[in-house]
Amino acid sequence: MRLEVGSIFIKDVQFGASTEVKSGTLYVNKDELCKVAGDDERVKSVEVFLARPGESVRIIPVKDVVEPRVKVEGSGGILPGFMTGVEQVGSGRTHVLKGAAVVTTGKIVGFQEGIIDMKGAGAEYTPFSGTQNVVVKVEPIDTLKQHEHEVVVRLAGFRAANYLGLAGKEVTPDEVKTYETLPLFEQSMRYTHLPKVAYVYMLQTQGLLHNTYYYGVDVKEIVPTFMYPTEAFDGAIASGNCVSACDKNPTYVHQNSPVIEDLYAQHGKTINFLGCIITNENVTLMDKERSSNMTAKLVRFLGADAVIISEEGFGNPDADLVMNCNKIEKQGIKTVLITDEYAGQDGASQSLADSTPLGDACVTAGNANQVVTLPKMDTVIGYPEVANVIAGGWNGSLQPDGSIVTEIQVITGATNELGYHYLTAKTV
Amino acid sequence: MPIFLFLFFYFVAELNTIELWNDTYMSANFHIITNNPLVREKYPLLITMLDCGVEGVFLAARDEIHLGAVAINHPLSGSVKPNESPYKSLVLSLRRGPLDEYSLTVIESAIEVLRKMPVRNIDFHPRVLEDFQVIDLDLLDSAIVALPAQYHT
Repeated sequence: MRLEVGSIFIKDVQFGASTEVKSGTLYVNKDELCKVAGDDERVKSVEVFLARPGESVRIIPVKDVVEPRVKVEGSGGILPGFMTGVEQVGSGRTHVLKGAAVVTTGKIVGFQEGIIDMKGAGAEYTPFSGTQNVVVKVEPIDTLKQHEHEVVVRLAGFRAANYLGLAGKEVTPDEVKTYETLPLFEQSMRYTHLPKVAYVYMLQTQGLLHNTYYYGVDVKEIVPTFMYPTEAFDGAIASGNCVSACDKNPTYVHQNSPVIEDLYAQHGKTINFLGCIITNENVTLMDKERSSNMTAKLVRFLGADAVIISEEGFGNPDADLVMNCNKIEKQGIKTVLITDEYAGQDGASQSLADSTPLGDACVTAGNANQVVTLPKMDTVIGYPEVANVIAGGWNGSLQPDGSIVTEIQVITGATNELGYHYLTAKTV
Repeated sequence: MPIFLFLFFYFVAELNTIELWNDTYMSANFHIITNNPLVREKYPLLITMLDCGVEGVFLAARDEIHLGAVAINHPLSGSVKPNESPYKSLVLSLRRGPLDEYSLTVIESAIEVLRKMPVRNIDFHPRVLEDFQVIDLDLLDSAIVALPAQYHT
């Protein structure tokens, strides 16, 4: 499967008479976008705001972030199973409005979380302070319950992103990258001198506000399966996960998976990248056993010498991470784990809820309990009062002057377990 | 007179409902330890309702595991942190066998995680409490739907 990804660099976003890209600026017809995003009888109103890097703007609570993309050649469409049919995606050509993002905000539950600050200390913890954000605020009709509310806001964000993505269809990209994965036997024979590496891509799948979809299917309903890595770039994996802002994977991060990007970057040089196994993080211990058994079986079946395993979330998924690691290592296949930590505000506590001596190669994405003070912003898009009730905040987090004292777990993407974030370690 | 008739039929209907629940659950070989009122409403005959916080639910589950019960769902299910949501529902086998060491490790680890998290002292609005209850119930439903084959209602 071969995919060309053409990036159109977006350096500014403005409202305009028509939705188009001109000289690196994305112009957005506000009324049209509101109409498209709100095209659902369960939506009462939609408002659209712009938030640019460096502006004194806070977005709270953030539900999802989606990158505008459009299919130019090849089968299927962006976000299959939701916005288009279920044709296979991941081949042909896709254009991306690189640097632009749709951010959805809507108070689905009272403790809804996720902060994006476009300026100040908070901006240093979220990758979405660096994107030209089109913020879509969705109010559902009054009678809507939590389950449907989540669906409504999720789909409004997808519609908005695909609508904006269309503006890039006829634009010549500034950069084109090509990614290719061959059918397994051909791929295995391609670089016989290099170690064969697969990627075990764990997806959050526990229930309401904790779900992830593959071609529109709730991933907790599937058994682990093989995915061509390029499918992710076309939105085959979509997020319905809007709890635990710091270490959930917004749809944008799935579309831009840095693990897949980096594995492709080394493909043919230091490794032979075979592809992805997507697996779930269900709530029953037997589901965990079944999925980790099948994941280990698939890794062995692919003939991998080593795997990268990334986790999504904390607590319950730690058990899945450890099971995957143990079962794959016991087959003589090396693992490298990517996770984040809840090591307490002083960083001194046990980081994960489970562990294994076989997990001896582990990359951390940071400590979610780290405390920061987020300065007051001039403009708040969304609902500032939720700062007191979101995870990582406490009664009094929201200070009288509008600043917020909180753990970084409230910040969207702060400890992202695919590594799509700013935290890093430096040798001093 | 009509009101007496209404009450009579209502009473009969209620009895039938209870009978139905009894029929459905009389052979259940698991139960739910919970402090969530919504779970009590949905699974009235399957629950052990506790009037305590999340730690109390964890400790009750740990005691049962020490007596030979098996944990069916993960106690840290949900990204809503255990010091954030006031509600927790755990599914355990009714069967008492030899100590299941994995269940014990999982519940002890959950207790450790809970105790290291700071108390947040938030006086939640009733609407927010309802949201927490709905999320906990949904996570529990995910477990009930995926009950291993040896467990039945």
